[in-house]
Amino acid sequence: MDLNKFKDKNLVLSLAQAIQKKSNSFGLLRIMHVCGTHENSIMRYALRDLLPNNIKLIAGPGCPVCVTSSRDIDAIINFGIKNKSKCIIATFGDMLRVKGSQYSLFSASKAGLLNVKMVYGLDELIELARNTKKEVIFFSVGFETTAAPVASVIKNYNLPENLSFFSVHKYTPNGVLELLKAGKINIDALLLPGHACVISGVSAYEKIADNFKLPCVAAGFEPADILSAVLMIINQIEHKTSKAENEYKRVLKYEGNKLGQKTLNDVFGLTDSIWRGLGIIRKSGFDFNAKYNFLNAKAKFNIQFSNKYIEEQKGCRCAEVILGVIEPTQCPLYAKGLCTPYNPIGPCMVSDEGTCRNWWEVKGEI
Amino acid sequence: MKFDKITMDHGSGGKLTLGLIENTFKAKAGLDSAILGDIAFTTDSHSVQPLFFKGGDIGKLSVSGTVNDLLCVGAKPLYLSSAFIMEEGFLIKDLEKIVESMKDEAKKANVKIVCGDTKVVEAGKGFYINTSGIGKIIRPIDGLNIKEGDKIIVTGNIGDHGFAILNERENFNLTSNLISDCTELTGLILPLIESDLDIHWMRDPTRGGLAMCLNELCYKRDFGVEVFEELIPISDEVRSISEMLGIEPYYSANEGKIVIVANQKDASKILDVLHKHPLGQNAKIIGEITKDHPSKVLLNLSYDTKRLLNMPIVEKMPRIC
Amino acid sequence: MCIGVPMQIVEIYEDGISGVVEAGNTKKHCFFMVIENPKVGDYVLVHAGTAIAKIDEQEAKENIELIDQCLLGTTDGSK
Repeated sequence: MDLNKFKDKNLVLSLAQAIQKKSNSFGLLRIMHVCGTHENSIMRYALRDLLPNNIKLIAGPGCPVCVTSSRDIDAIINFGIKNKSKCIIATFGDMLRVKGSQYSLFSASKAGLLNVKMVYGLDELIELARNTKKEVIFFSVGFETTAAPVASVIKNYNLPENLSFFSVHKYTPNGVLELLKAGKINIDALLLPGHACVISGVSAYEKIADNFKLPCVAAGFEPADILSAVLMIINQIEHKTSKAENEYKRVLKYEGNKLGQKTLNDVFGLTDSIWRGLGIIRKSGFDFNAKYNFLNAKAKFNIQFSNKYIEEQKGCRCAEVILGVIEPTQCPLYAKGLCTPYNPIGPCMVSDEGTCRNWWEVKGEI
Repeated sequence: MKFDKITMDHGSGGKLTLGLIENTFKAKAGLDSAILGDIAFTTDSHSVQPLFFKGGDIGKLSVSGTVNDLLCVGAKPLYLSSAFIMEEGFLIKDLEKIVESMKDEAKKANVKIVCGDTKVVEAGKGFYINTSGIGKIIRPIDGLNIKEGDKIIVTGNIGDHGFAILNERENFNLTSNLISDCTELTGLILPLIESDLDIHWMRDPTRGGLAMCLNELCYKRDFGVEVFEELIPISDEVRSISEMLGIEPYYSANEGKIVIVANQKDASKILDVLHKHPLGQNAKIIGEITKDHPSKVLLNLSYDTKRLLNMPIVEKMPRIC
Repeated sequence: MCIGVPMQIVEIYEDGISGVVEAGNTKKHCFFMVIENPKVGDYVLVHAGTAIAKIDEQEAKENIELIDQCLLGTTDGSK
């Protein structure tokens, strides 16, 4: 199947031109996306340079590792340290460097304090557990996109007994909904996360489109996808409508992945969850249902949480960056070169997907 | 940025390594080998994991790396030293394999390994090889005469070694034909050095990949680098793994490629020479030297836009989110 | 937030829920527990070693048509 069409130069440039042409018909248009991979594509193809000045693409809370609370990171690290001889902590590569109050999984493991293994796919995780006598605890991070595959393995696969899961999964639609309700975000439209919508469906955002009169368009990740979605948003504004639309038709069903949703609901239930820098958000996290609680590492090992944890170092303005209130360069720690990828102070600088990190990589040091 | 301890990132060949060289060693980051009259001298330590990988092993790498560093300054590689630091319990059988590949690679490069040293350390402390090398300068290629309009050539597909090693080291279970490009390049590069083609600078884009190499090219210089995404040769395998892991191929290490900066009038002749050799078939002109943005590397994208190709900061981790 | 890579199913194991996918001459183990009726030859979107959606050739064509409509300004928020 030829998917190169979505990268096609002429198509992308004519989309950019069409957007330019229409840009006189409205004032400032603030479009927030909530997906690190969108930010990555936007930076990688310098798409902001193709847009007129009055269209702002704002990077919202779209990086699941960036919004993982220090409370959870501290808990897994402390457990890993206390039980070093008996357990291995596994997680995805992007989670490794995110710092809790003191350590990241990466720094604690390089200091020899605990055993950490990076995995890329769930098959490796299972293989890892099969090949060791130690307990393997998966620090299970990600939005519904990742939570559904994890749930499917839990539900359908014969897992080794020494494998359990520490869920820090988050549910995007409710996260965004609550932030809008709280009046924390000031935007004109939403670019919905294509891959998260594969599971949740575009329909999960209908309420947001209706209640907040926000045009919402789910987009793929190629340049033509993102620019078409911007055009679809503009077209909605011209027609004075606010609906949840689907640009990413080749992959994404409007109602989402029913099987994925069912699997997810069988294994997990929605619970209140702390988003780093944003506080507790109602029904925005996935935690185990009773039936599968035997695979819940928090319960299996009675993992302890401390209420003394540091979410944000002094001066860090990641929360405002995540909400699109300021741009990274407006944070004094970023501007003074105090927060850098070598010494990330805020979570947005840690992950490759974090907004500050993305800016730093592409725009360079100030 | 001040550090009071060495971190893993100091060894990643990126900006922190450069910081160590300048701030702690009080030295200038320079060429791949020292040019001492008509002698070139260099040294390199190898700590690759896994020790044996598709396309080579630490032995092959320890010879090819040093040989290539000598070539880069316009020298004909002649003699190498080899020093082994081995952990207790290391299998003699494995050591024999490593020594055998060093021998083979040295033979291919037509260099002699003339002295060596062995040390044994406690079990668990790993296996390392250092090689130093001496070459005879045919003509010094020292980067001093790089000028605006010079063309930048890469001798083949980029990113193979880094991704091949990462996949094996971390057991990502990705199966492909991708193998490390680890090889000595005497046969490819020596004819260029011995020709009168106007070459101004060469470097092998190892740790930190092409991105680091191009940044070093213009580091603290009064010119910048302009490269074109569409021109950079990348295999399907690397492109696909790069998409899967979320790491750009520009940051993935190479162990059998050279970046050449040459007078634009000779660029196509250099390409002709490279294309005739099996290791240079995919050689491409990927960009040029510019005065527009000193010390910066700009990547021209397909949509008439461009972005900064930064010096790598920390070792890139695969991401799924 | 989520990397998803289009890959083609080249093998399905006996268990029916796992197999091998391929893209760019690279093969990877993959689970098929959140898509219906996986078949060899199907294109799927792979995330974290799991196929989370099928990619349909016809829909890819419609996707391009949709983009063409965007250019004409004829999308208006209908599903």
